[in-house]
Amino acid sequence: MRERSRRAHGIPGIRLGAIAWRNVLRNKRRSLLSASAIAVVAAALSFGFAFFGGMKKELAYNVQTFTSGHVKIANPAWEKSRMLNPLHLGVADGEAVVRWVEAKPETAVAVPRISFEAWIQRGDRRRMVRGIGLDFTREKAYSDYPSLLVRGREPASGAREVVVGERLAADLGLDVGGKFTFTTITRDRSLYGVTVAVVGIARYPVPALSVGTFAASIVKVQEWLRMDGSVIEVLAKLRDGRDANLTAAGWNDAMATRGLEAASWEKSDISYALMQFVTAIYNSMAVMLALLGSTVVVNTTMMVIFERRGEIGALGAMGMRGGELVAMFFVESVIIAIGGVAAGSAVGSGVTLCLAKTGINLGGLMNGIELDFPSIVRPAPTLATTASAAGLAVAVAGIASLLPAWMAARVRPVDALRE
Amino acid sequence: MGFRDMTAIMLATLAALSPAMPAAAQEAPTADGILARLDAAQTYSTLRSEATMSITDSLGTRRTDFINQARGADDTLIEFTSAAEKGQKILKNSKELYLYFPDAEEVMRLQGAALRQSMAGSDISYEDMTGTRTRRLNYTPRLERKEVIDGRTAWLLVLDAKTKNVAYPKQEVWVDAATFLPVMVRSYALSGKLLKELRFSDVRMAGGRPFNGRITVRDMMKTGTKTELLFRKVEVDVPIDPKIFTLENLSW
Repeated sequence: MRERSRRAHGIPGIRLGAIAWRNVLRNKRRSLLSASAIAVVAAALSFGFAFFGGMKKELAYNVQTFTSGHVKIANPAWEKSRMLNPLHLGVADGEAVVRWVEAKPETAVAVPRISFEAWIQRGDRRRMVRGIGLDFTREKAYSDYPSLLVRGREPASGAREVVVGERLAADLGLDVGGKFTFTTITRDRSLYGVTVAVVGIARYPVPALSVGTFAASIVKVQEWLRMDGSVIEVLAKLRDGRDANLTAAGWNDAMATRGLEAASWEKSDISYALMQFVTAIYNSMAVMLALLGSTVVVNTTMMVIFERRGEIGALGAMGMRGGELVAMFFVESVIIAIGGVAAGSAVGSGVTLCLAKTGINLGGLMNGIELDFPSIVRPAPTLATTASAAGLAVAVAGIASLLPAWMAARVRPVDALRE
Repeated sequence: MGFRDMTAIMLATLAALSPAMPAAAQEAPTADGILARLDAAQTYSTLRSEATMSITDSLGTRRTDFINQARGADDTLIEFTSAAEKGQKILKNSKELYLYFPDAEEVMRLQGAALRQSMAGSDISYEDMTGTRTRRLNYTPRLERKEVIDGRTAWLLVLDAKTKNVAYPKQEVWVDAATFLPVMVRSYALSGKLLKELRFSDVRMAGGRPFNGRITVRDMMKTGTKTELLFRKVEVDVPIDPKIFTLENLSW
């Protein structure tokens, strides 16, 4: 009865934090072991969140700059059969549509583009490539195209000149001053051949563009392909704060009368959807990693409880309640976790910051992938990502300690003291 | 064979064929005899024609003008004169087919899958133009029946390819019983699928010989497309500089 009474009222004036801190220091090696497991989890989460954050940021830039803009206007029929390169399903009077978009207050900058299939015959070998018609004057503001040039200059409007992707140029042995002839299929499905002069070499952040494209003045491309003033798509970047989905929806009434459709970049590009999917997978893996780390916390806490069984019995005999015991072990685990998270976050953030400057070259992995994933990923650490990683690690460690702590609370002082 | 039929009226006659064949063929029409007459009726020593190709497809109807010059059974030079295609040339000999584009510094030899591309966006493929225009060298004929088609009495010949080096392994050719010009040609794939249909009409005379002044080509693999060739001016046995059929001359 006395024992029950003491346990019901607890030990007056007990300082759980002080006891927990003392216990952490009692077995430094074990505490270090638990802390290191948490540190590894925190470092991995910190780096992973920053890596995927950086990749998403660069992917968004690539999609918005090279593929979809914030809003893309195109013929929906072209989208459906784009694999067949149906140039006749374009945006008629492309210049008028560009001007309409430019006149909208939400538009920051807009460009017309034409993408077309072509091949370059070298002996018996046929190299499939993709030509891109660009309005280089507008591209300056849209994609900062001159900054992509590693050598040479942009093609002059109306000249038979091209900029070649860096890898394609290397593969074909081309450089500024060289020439090549390509064959393509025109809007009316006729063959056409053109010899062009290479005036520039470009390095794009999207590997597929560097490996297999050349860019020419859109005026010349319209002439070669007999586009009759049409383009394949009009891309728009919006002013800051403008919502792409709402803007696309707002433009669609006007576009529908021309048989066109406006779509936001999140909806019109598969790369971003794929990235969302990959991020979801990573988040699941992050939880798995945290759970794996928690097993170490559970193990070490259990070992502590077995070793300190007599002490737990004595505390119980002195009147410490079950809730206080649970709280004590919880605080111990949280103290260890905070230490581990601090070390792990420091290491993870340090590595992340270094890689954010140098970048991680994924060029080899991205070869042959015709998506907008960047070839160089710069992890983007933010306070939010670091705090998320740290919070998750501390929470997992704390929660993991609850089970062994609860088991400790169930130890009967009499049994423990007898043992 | 589509383009062979188109150009056949412009093609060079192998002189030896024409005089000897007709009598025997008329008296006892055999598949071989009719095919020989068909080849002869479509072959000229030299030919120069000016024609318009009207192409109807999902883009609407557009017209392309060209000048065709031919020699014998193998050589053809086509030069486009319409503004959109001005300067483009196609040179064909018995083995190869070359394209010249005014924007290209190289002459292109078409081969492989590229031969299946459409000529100027029409229902005629470059493959249709390849090889010799003398059918007897490539096909074994079988006479099916005589029937009236498009108001013209015609022999129906079924041709099976002797070689794999032809665009179509099987053809049905309706040959006009009076002029031995083709009235209709249907070309099939090995599977028996109908790939192309050509109808010939507007028979006129050039150099004392009849020729089909209009050819309608349908690529049966496409829907809603049609190509019509209308020959405005045809001259046969006219002097043509042999140099124009050389590769060196193509890019001039």
